[in-house]
Amino acid sequence: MVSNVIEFQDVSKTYPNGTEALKEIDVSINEGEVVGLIGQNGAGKTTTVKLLLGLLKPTSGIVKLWGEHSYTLLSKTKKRIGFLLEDKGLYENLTVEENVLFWAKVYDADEQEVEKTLKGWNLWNERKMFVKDLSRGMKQRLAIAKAVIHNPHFIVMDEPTSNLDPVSRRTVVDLLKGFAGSDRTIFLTSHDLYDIERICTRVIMIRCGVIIADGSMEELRRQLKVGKEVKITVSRDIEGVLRNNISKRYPIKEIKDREILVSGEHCDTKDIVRFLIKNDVDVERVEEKKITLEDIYIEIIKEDEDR
Amino acid sequence: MKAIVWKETRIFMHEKAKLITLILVSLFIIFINPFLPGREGTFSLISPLVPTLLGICIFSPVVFQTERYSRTLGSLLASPLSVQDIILGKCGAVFLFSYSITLLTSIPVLAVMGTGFLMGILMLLITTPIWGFVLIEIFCIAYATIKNPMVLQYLAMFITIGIVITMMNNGVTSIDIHLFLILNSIGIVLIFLLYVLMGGINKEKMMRIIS
Repeated sequence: MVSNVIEFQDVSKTYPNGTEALKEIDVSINEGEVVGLIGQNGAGKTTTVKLLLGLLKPTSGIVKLWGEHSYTLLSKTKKRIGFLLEDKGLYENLTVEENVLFWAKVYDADEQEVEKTLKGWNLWNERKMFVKDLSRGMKQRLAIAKAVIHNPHFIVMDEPTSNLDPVSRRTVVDLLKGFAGSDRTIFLTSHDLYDIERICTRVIMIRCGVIIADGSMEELRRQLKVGKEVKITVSRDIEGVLRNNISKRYPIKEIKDREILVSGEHCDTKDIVRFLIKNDVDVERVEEKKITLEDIYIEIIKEDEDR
Repeated sequence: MKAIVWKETRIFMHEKAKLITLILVSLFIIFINPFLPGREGTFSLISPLVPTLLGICIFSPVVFQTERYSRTLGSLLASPLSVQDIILGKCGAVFLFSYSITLLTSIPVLAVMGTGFLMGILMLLITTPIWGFVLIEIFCIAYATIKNPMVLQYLAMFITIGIVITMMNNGVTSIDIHLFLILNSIGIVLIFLLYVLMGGINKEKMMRIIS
């Protein structure tokens, strides 16, 4: 039976200065789901993470983790969570090794894991260095290393791939994918939609404290009625009656000189090409563009703004 | 809690300048005490409190400032540690350092004392740790809940100076056994009351103050 790991029931959060960070959020996340939370700056992502980790108390509503209120989670439940906050949780005036050892002690993790972890994250040679002397990328790797040292069941990460070089970024993505395949629940926030797309099975979009979209990539595509985008380059300009006919018949997004941009859920490229040839238009090139999460995101934000 | 004590101790060990200053100043104050005019080799019973108070002045701010500068309090509060664990761990580390230095500096002086040895030992081994811990708890709770910690540093400094002046002028060299028992009983009750008070500190408020 699939059980809920996280439940947000009508959760609102208003800060003492009056800022309404979240408005009546209703979300449940099941065991094994890999969820990405995306949104612009100030959308409410960090507030959501802080509510999840029990750092904030909701103004109204309930946040539950494994059925327990997140603000009053028991210590043994907290030991099942691995997290990375925006602020990393690294002590600048301790060495790399001391930082990992400290978090291993906090989570009662096996201290033998420290060496393995540092070697695994290519930080072994820097173990005696103070954190304040590390590069931003190294700090980020160290922060992730300490977050998963106790082999958590639920991982919450706020911007895990920021500041990372391509190699480290790949390592983090692979690690999270590895975790994802092992019944662990993952909750990520990121500005990098490409990473979210690679890792997550479900995407939640948040805007001004309100959830504006929630579902798998496929569901979001269906919701927006965008399946794919095809660019057809033809031999001559499309004008007049032909322009009207093709626009009526197919989900044309844009016609610009010799380029036709088609986008939609049921976009039959072959049929369009046949139609063009039948109307004495030679087709020079057909390029199919995959709809990325970024395209969906921008489209949803636009739709929401228009509303 | 042990993890916090370990972490703070590591941070103190890296703060070598502060550590050496504390040891040297404590040594100076304790050693000069029996050689003051009119003291005739007696040990002032309040002198062991000096290194403890100096420890509070020097290390209590460090344990909270580290969280502020490293921006780590959020991670600490989201971890399996409770607010009580965190504050008590910090108190424990400050106590461990301050009291070690107190013992290190007071025992050699006591050992060469002719008079006041027994009472001195009792004060050093019972009253000083009890009241030292009470003071550390008060300061740590205050650092976690008051926005302007500089006020506290000055306060600790003034108390230390007050004790040093008292010690220099007419240092307390004997104490009634009943007063001794009452004093220590009050101290123990206060330690527990302050521990309970720690549990009532609001996480969100603490984050706003320290972050």
